[in-house]
Amino acid sequence: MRRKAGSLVPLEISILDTGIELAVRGAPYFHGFLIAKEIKESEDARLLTAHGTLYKALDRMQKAGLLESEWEDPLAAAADGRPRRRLYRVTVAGATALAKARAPERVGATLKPETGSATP
Amino acid sequence: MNAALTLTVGMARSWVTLYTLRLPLEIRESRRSEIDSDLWEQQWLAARRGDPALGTAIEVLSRMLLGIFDDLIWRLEAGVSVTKGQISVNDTWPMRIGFIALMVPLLLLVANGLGMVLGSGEFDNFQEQILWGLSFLVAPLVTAVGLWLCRTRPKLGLGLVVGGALTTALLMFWMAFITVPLAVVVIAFAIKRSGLAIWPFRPGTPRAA
Repeated sequence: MRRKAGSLVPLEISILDTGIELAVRGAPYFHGFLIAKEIKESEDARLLTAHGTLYKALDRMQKAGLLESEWEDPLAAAADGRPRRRLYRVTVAGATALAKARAPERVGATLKPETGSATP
Repeated sequence: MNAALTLTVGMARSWVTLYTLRLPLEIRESRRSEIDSDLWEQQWLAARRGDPALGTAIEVLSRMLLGIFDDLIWRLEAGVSVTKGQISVNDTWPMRIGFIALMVPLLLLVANGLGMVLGSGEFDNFQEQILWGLSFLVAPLVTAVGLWLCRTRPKLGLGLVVGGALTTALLMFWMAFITVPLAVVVIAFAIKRSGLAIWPFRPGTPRAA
């Protein structure tokens, strides 16, 4: 079954959300393991996102223009003694898609009646 | 590094190597490098935090196993995008679905074998545990690799499937009434996938009356 064009699945929302959160904290670029770790911590999950699920989503999101990526300078990675990272960044289209995906939630929250509150 | 962690990291790397085989160099190297980096970061963080190596090994294994289905889908999509317009009779959607349907239980059997090697199950001694564990690990793995190779190297692939599937069936001799027919189905599918002219109804020719 194909999903509706332009809609985001929960993992994509988590990736965009976390990517923007990291950017706000001053780290606009993230790599696969970092995003998996941040999602696990923010959602209090027991496991990190599976390799296949994570990288397939990142690949799909990049093709959709929600993310852009570039490979880290090999010399920088070698200086740290680790494999080079593929660094992703949320694009304007990604942020817009997240805002659209979030919009129905906000509307729902606004319309939800508050129990015990005085209504005019 | 702990032996279990070394083994699971090696398995994760081998799995990436397997499912990216025959993809264009750029796509293949990109995926392999990305998983390499991920595995390195996970081990580095675990070492820095002082997490137990066995726990990290289990998490690496879980991440690999839980992602297998998505890996196979990604592989199919990546394969289709580079071979568009060259889809052969054995590369149809029913064949792909059949391939995944057979790969999933085979890989679960591989995971079961790995669990035995790592210590699950009850055995009289360590040698018995390793012997059974490796047998349960290798036989379905050989079948899975054979099934994968059937299209590109038909005879080798089919040979691996026949050997692996029958060994797997025999290993679970106490439920042979299930495993033997399943082995026959896997072998039949492998013959069909290989395109060899030993299928009862040859590809591209009418079925015999």
